[in-house]
Amino acid sequence: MTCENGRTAAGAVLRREPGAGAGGPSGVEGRSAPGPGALAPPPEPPVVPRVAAAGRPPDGLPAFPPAGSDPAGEGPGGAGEPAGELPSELSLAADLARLVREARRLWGRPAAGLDAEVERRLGLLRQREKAIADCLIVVMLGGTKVGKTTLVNALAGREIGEASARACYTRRPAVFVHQRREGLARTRLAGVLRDDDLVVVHAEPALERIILVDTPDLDGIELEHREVFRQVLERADLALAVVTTQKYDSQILYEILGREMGFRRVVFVFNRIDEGIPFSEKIRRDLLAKIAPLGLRPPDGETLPLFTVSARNALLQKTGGPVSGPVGQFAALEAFLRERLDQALVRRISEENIAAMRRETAEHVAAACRLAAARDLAAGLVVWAEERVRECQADLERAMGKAFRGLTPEIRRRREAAAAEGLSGPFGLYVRLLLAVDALAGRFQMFLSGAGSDLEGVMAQRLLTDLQPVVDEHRQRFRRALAERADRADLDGGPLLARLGQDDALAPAVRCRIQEQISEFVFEPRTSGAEGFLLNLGPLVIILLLLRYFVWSLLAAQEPGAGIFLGGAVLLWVVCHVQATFWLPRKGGSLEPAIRTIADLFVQEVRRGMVEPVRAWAEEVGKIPPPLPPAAGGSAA
Amino acid sequence: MGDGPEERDAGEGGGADLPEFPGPGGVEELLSRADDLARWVEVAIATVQSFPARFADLDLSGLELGLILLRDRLIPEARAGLELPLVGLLCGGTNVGKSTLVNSLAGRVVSESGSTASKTKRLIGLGSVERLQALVQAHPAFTLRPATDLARPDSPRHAVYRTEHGEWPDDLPLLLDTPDIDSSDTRCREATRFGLRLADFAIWVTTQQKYKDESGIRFLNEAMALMRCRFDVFNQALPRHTEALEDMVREYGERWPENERTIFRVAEHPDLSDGEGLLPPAELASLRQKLVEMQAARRRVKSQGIWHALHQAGGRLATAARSLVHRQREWRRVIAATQQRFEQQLFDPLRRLPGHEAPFELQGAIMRVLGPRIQTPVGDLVSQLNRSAGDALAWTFRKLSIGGLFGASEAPPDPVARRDDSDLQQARQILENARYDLLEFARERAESGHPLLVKFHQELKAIDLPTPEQLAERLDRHFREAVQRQLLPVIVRFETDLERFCDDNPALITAMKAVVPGFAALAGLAAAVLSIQTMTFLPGATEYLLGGLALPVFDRLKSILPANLLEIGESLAREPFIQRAREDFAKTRRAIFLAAADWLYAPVAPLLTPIDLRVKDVGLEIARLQDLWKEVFRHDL
Repeated sequence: MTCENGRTAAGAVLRREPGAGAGGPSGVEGRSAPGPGALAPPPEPPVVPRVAAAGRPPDGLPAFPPAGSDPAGEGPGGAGEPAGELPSELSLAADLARLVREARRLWGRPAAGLDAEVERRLGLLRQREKAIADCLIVVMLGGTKVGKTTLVNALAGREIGEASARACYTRRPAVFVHQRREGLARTRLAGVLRDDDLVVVHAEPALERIILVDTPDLDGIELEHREVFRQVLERADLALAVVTTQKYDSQILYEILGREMGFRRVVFVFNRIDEGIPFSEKIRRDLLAKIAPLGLRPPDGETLPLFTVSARNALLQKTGGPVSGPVGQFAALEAFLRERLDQALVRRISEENIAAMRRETAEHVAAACRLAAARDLAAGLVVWAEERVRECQADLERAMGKAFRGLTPEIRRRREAAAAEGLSGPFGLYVRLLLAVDALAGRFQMFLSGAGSDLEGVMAQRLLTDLQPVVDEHRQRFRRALAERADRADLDGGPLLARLGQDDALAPAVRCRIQEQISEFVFEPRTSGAEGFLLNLGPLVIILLLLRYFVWSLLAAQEPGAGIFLGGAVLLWVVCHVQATFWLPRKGGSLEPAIRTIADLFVQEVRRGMVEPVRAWAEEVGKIPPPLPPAAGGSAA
Repeated sequence: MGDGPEERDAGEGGGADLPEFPGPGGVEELLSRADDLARWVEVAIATVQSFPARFADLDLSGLELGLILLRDRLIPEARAGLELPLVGLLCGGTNVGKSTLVNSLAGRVVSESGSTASKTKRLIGLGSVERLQALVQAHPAFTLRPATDLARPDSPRHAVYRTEHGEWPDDLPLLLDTPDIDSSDTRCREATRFGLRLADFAIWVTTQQKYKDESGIRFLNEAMALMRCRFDVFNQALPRHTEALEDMVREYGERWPENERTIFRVAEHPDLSDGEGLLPPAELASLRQKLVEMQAARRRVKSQGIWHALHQAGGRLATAARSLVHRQREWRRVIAATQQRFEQQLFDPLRRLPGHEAPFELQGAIMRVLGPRIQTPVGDLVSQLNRSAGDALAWTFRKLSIGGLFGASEAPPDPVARRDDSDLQQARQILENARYDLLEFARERAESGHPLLVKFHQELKAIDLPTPEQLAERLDRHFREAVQRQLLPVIVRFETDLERFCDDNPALITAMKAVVPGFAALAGLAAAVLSIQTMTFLPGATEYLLGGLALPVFDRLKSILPANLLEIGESLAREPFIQRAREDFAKTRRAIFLAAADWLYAPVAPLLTPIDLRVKDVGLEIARLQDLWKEVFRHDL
């Protein structure tokens, strides 16, 4: 509120045009000072033009509100009344409780110290959602001896609570409630109202819409008074902030007004205007200037109502005692509470307050559950985990290359042998001869390396012993990094980490598959019949030509030329050698695809252990609905 | 956290230095002891302020109170021999009529009053200029200023403002008019608290509305620890307030049984206009009388007041000091545990990297320097042959595809690179491990729920540590640079030293040449043997020297070397410059790796700053001060 607003508020009187109804703020205007620079005029009593229209019945007679606005057959609880068009999601408290359960299950929050407060707030919201009615809880808010009890008594017109000259006298809340609202009052105040607390039931129809609650002081030395006061304030819709000339500039008062009011509406009552240093315009301006920055909400319209009264004199007047001083604007205050707070306004305030309370509770619960942090964490988690897996894959391939390095020639030899298996004919003979020589060297090497004949077994073993540490290391690092991320987000990483499973060795099934993969790779090269035929074609032709020459020379009875045979043999060798040189390495092939395939097996295993649980967790987190659906927020606005 | 040290501490502070007491010069000793204690309290307060988070939950108001007692009450009064003017602190809440009261005491308007809250915002001194001057001179923190300065927005709070209105009766003590102690303006409340430093007694003005306000009682609790006498003025009393007055008498009597209090009832005078009027003199006659009596007996009042404050404020100081020292010890334990963990997980492993003890570079230097010097033509020839044979062998191995076994197919490994790679790999792991471990350690400890450990964990979490990847990358870069910058000079220096040593000892070279007459493969081998002898036996070294053969081979070779050579080696090893070079090498290399540890330690270091407050038994000091006070001012007590 700006300074000017403050001055406007100095007028502090709400004026409602006759017939404007509860049309909302448009029908309300603050009356400001008549001229710029002029002091605010002495406040008029709020004009409530609907007095006649409401047709107030004489005191003591129960009167019924205008037909249609109040459903018949409402019990004293009044809880069943579907007041207004409240959004249908009445079970926000249940939704929030579900959120708390999920949060605890998935990321271990709210933390140990906070859950009691969350439970308490949920309890309050539950109470409030249960008891929707067009009826306001009005509490007294003020320090010691400002006259809260006297004001309640004056409003009631009789001694409800015992007002004493001693400070900190009122210890417990006292309720002044219409007989039809008693059950409602008890529901709304459950948790703070004890059995032996005073509940005074009246039958005055004009006060049916408000439940007056007298409260202990908020600035005295009795700290439990303050606690009781806070509990009542939490359940309130409207507070009558009672101040006096001595107590209007109290630090504690402003702290409570500034921090704990939330959505609750405020009406200021300046009491004891005729005692001590008397009330003056200067003081009113000072007060208004001091409360302007607190952002308090008036029941209606823009300006905070402020009534200057002497509750004591008003009570004396009502009870017929000797009145020694002015009563101030007490009549206006009464009129405000009785008529200005008509059914429509009360219903509107009630609805707005419920919506605001839902929002407040939802925000608190979400904050205590660290929902936003968990969402943030979940949002980037899968991508991050995939990155870690890619890093792991790179390391695995590197390690695998190292593990296979010494075995490369042997693998090549095996593959070549496998290829030669399906080969027959002269070329096949030659290749086998070649491989036999090579195998001798191989034997020697195997003897040295201890590889033995079980190459696949050795390879699988070597892979496992070399790669398992790499996998373990990455898993370990992943767990630690994940725990740290959760910790830094102030979440409990326990539930998430528990899903990752233990750092156990690779499953035996994977071992088997690796071994299979290796065997498959080693025995993969096959030589088809056609290939064999083509390869044997050249040598066969040479052999046939030589044979033909031999037969021909026999038939011709000629001496076969040794040179021809020698040349043929050399040609045969050259052809075989050239063929073998080009064909064998192609069959032996490179290790790359095998490495890739086997690495993929490991990576799949790693991904199953790292990414999948994280993805499932993140999805579960994503499925948690926002604590306050935008629709509900919209209806509150 | 254990609780053993509690007793140890008491012993520490108490047993050590009980001097012959009472000391030589009464006042002198009193002053020096008080000054000593005050200085300790100042250090303690500064400590608390520099680590606000570590002490946030402790009630350390006793420190401040104790400092006021020592610096502003005891020391100035003792120095002035109790001859400072007697000062009364006039305090109370908003609009209780403080200023009206002083005006009525003076019989004319001396302090401006107004009905709005917080009219007075600073300390207003009421009394003659001379007395005010004397007061301010004894309290160097304060200044005396004319009331016109009050209008300035930056008017200091450490000041007494001299009112312009008329004279203050000389038979009354000085009075300090103060701002409202329950004001919503924090600066006002603080200004009032400054008044505690100057005043000897208090005049507490209250009303029926305020006598049980928590803010007032809290202030009085502090004030009554420093002062002995108080006048309670129950102002604006009405006949119907009798019950409240009785309640106040009872309540205050229970609260401050040790203080000398007198309660005055001042009736409500509704005819007083806003701030201008005076109370009828009869109303204040008894209060005035009391004040006059007090002024007459001011030395006694002061002496007893400080005696009282030594008990009360001194007791609170001792309590606060105890809890401060206790908390400091707890923090020290938390910090020590973390530091120890750092040591275990980070510094120690880095210090123990095996590479620090493998100075291959120095061995290389020996070979570089000694090799050419003991070279012979025959030796060269044999080396040449040796190299050729080696090449031939490698070629054969390669042809047989069994070279992989000996690593001959690749370039022989550089031992320095291999050592550094392995060390870097280890260091990376150490850094990463320590980084995660730091947070995990704190988290695990925080799970115990101990508030300090939880707080420490929170603070640690907020620190942004470099990621493991960043650490690894920085380590590689840093190591490369640091080797060039730090390690290379050590090697170069060693080489120079060695050269100088050889030049200085030609006999040694001759002897060596004689024992390796050309056949040893020999000059190189001899140098290698020497280098190994002089440095250390390490598998890495033999690899370097003998191309992969194992240490036993070297041992066998050693046995066929002439005994002379080994003797020479041993004598060389005893040379101090070689010892020093080895140490330098290890130290430098350690430093290089420890510098990397700093990347983790430096961000956390502010958290690990130990609190360094001298342990002092404040209770004992206070007791000594009491005894001294009793001795020095026994006539006034």
